[in-house]
Amino acid sequence: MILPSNLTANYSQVIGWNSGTSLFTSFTCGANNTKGSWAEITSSCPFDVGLIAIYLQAVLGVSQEKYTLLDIGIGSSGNEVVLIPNISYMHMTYNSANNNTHEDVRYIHIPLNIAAGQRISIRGQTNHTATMGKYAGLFLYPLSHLTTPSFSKITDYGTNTSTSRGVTVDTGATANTKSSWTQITASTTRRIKSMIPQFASGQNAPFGRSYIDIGIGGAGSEVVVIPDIYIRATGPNGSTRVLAPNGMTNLYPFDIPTGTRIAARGQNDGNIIRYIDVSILGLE
Amino acid sequence: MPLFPYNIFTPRYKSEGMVSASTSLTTITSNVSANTKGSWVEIVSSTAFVATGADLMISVIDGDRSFLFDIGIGGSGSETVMIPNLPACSRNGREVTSSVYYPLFIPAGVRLSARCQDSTGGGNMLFGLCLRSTSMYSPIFDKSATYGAITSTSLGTTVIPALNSKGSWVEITSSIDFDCRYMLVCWSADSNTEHGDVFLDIGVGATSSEVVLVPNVFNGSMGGTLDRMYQPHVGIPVTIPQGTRIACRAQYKGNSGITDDLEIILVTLG
Repeated sequence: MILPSNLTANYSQVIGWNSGTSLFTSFTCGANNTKGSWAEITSSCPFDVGLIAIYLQAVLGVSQEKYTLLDIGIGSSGNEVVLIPNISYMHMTYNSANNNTHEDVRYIHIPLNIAAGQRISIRGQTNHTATMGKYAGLFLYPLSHLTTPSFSKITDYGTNTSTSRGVTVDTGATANTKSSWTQITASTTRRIKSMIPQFASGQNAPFGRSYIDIGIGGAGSEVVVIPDIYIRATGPNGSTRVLAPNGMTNLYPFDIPTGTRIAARGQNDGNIIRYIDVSILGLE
Repeated sequence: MPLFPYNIFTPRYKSEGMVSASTSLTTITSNVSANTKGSWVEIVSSTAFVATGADLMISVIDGDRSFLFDIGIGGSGSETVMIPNLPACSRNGREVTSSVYYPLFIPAGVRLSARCQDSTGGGNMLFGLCLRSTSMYSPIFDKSATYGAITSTSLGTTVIPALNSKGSWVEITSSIDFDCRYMLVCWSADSNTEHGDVFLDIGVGATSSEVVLVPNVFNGSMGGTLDRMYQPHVGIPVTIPQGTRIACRAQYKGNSGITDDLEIILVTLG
């Protein structure tokens, strides 16, 4: 193996971060379920990027359940083009009065090409317009770092911008038994080479364990392609404060042709975790 | 008949250690003595295909304790540690769950098992994995090493962050054993309250001459008394030659609570 002599040269960078405040770039959402204005993360991407990690940082000021969809865009101010659409990001649900100040972070890997010099920005929408501080930054890796398959186009399936949510999958009334399939999309519009399933709570105060299967094929003929993704929602003993099943899972390489139907099903342990919102990012 | 352009069923994903009857994962129990590994528990008797990696599903069901767990390979009574001392922790009775992609070669037909220790003794955690036939990365890694784990406390190496500026460097290892191409940054937690956003630098080089290799790995823990890290395992592609010293330093954001220390474990793959 040949390793570079200068390990730090043009290697990896975090952009959009303020070291003096320990905060990433602030951005705002629009009115309920409406995308806000673009906020610049960097005016110029420092090198040809092959892999990014999205840092999401939120400070929640009120007790509200929040579904959020984020876009990452490239292009000059006023001419932004969506590069990653509708990243699902759900904040914790609070039913108790204490600990209203809340920090929430996410770290999401996406192998995506971004050319050097590109301006990168972010915008978002949420189902509530509340006093939540939202911040985002990017961790950039150079194109040549690993022979990672890197993608240039991402399409979202199952997201509903009128609610800022995914498709709600009912994992069934009978505990520990796989549910019926719920369609995420009737027909993929582009070839998918890898997918990232995204999850959020489909109900208030979830508590318990569930599995989610991702399948492809016609109604009644679905074939499981990703089995038993484990999701856990939990809360402290004796409290109604809970965590929601949240965010993206890992990336799953999978070659799926245009026109494929994608569905999801699940099972639960009989606790309060019956409904899970599911959406999918398809990479090509 | 139209030519079907892609073999859509080529990638394989197979979950092991799932307990479908209760929608749970396999229970692993520590030795009753604190900081002592318990017995091996089988996760899969024979892997179904050559795996280029796995998603590790980790859940801690006994709170207020820190765990270190091993993943082993081999027949019952002849297990060999394949991945040592990965951390997991929970606080205040909450089950804390994470899923981490681990890009390590696993042969077909092998038995995999797991065992754990915890800071109190007798604790339970849940574990399962999803084997993958297709990797996100190439080349496929076949070596793994863990640095910074302290088996006498079931914690990692303590790194103390400073408020909105980086703290002092803390050595995680004086020398890595092989060329590293991928690193898992693992965060454990002790019994102190730790919440707020933290930013960890990973540096290489001799003492007092450290150079930042990976800047500002971001993490945080929940506010109030929910003190556990959001993402206990963060995977990062890196390139670090054999023999390199690795150290860490950190800072935290000050208006969201306190962060008195971090417990860091680094896992290298190559």
